[in-house]
Amino acid sequence: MRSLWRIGSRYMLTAVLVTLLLIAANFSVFLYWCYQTVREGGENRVYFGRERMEAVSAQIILEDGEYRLSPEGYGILEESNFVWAMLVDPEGNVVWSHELPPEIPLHYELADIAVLSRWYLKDYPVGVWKNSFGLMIYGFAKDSFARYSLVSDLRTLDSLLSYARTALLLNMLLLLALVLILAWRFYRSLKPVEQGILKLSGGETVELQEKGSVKELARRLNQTSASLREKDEKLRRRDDARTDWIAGVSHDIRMPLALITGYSDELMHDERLPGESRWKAEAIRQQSMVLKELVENLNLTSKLEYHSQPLNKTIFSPAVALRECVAEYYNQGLREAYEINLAVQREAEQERICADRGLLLRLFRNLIGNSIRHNPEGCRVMIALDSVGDTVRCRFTDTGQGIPEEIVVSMGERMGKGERGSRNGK
Amino acid sequence: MKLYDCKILLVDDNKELLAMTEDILKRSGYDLVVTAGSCKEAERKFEEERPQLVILDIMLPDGDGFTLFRTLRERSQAPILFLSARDEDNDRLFGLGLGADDYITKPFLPQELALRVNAILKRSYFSAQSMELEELLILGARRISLRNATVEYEGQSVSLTAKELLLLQKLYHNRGNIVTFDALCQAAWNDNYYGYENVLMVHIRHLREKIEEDPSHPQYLLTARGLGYRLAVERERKGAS
Repeated sequence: MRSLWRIGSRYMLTAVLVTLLLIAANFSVFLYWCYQTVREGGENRVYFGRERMEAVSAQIILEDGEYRLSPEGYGILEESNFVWAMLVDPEGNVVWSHELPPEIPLHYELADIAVLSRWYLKDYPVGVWKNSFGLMIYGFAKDSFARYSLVSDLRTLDSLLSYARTALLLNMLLLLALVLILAWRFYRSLKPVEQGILKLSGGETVELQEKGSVKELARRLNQTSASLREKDEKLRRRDDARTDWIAGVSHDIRMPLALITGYSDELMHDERLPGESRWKAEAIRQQSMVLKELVENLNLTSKLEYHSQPLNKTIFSPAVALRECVAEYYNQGLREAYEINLAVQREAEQERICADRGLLLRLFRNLIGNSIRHNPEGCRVMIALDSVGDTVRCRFTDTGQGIPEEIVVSMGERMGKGERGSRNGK
Repeated sequence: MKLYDCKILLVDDNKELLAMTEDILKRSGYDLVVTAGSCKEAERKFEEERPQLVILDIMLPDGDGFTLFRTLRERSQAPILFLSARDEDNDRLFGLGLGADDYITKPFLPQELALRVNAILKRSYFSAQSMELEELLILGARRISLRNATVEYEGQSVSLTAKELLLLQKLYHNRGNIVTFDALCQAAWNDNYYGYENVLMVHIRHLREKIEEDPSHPQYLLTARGLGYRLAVERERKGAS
């Protein structure tokens, strides 16, 4: 809904801006046109010249009972657009004329004057100017001017104003409604695309309908989704292949290892052999068991890494698991140089955790095994289990030589990486 | 029939391993070992020899051990042990889920195989006999009858309570090994250790009073601090004293 509002307000803002821009553009073009018109003056245009009418009218003179136009008057007349001119005296007779077309009558009643002053005279648009001798009438070329007479009462003018206001308001509302409808339509057509992108970023497969205004967008999105899926599939296949390969190798190594273990064990127990040889056989057997463990761990690690190890999560007591693990070490014949102490805090005794019990036991075994392996002259391993808040803490310490500094550092790095990896994995 | 008269059918496609395993079993006392290198051969030998125990590999040239297991189980209830180079927990669980009696991964220690074969055969064929063997436990000057739940010492007889007997039996079955508090509580009360800490301690003390020479310095029923208890084997005790 927020994105709808965002789209809507953008739309509205754009619409208002476009409207304002259009008005401004129109207005400036109009102004420019007006300016050009004024500057070019009457040179290229027919000009309804009042000044000229006035000037010419002033140049009529009465000499010896005859009306004449002074030479200046003729000069102005020449420059003007008037095609003809005449002077009508107060009695209605034409007393002076210039280039008067034959169809123009030579006598006028009051009514004629009233009509021609507002409209046309024999289709000639005319202008009138009163001077001291009567009425000067100037004729323009036919079809050069349009003359209308506008008459309106004030009430109508007033209502026109309020009508304009209402119309403006209605127009604004209409604009708003249109913008909202358009925005809604846009939002609706974008909605599936948005959801598609969200799905895609969540790692899901997207299949949008390719139609409407966002057809192209939907098509591209579908393509991206398909190619992502393909890449995922390839990666998964590669991971699977790697895991299978490691599983295969570990299987193949076990066979010869079983023979090595079996025969070295036999030699170790062969009393006919000298002590040193039997001791060597024992070393071989021991190392082959180490190899077995390494292969197992390699296999498990690769499976965990590529997520092909299903986690068998159960709810169980870590205290019981630890006791089982330590007891197992003792029961398998722990050398006397070693001692494993387990201290379970009373509160931790009743704690239950949800985890893969087998994997956790293997982790415990590996930790204890490391202490034993790296301290051949013996050590004491101390395991403490206590509950801290809503977590259970299990600490492994030993009295041995400790972990070398550089291994601690690289372990920290690897664990850091592992954490990032698992976060990505999720 | 004696334990070592049991006939064992060994199925594996690796000839060297087959020879070695056969050797291990023979050295452990099992003289009647029959071998097979494929499913077909295994089925034929199974019919002919009627073994008391089958040791099966999972990967065979003409099929897999799981299928062979089903075929053999349809014909007889003889115990079957998987001996495989596949350590996948799923395989292990699948094998045991099918009803296999045990699952050992290669490489294995010869004694481990011998011990497990022993255990399976005892469990399958000699449980009645072994009960008889078990019924008398001798700890120093004390003779403990697990059947009658009595301890005889210098002509006097003391009875064990039901819980004491259960605990002692559990320890006896795992003699030499540490039995965790949890396992003991499961055996005696069928419950978790939590809440039974003191109860277990009291019962062990009573048991020690009945079976030990000096209960505050036990020679047989030993404490594994923080883990559980252990019934010492005779040899160990002599070494200790």
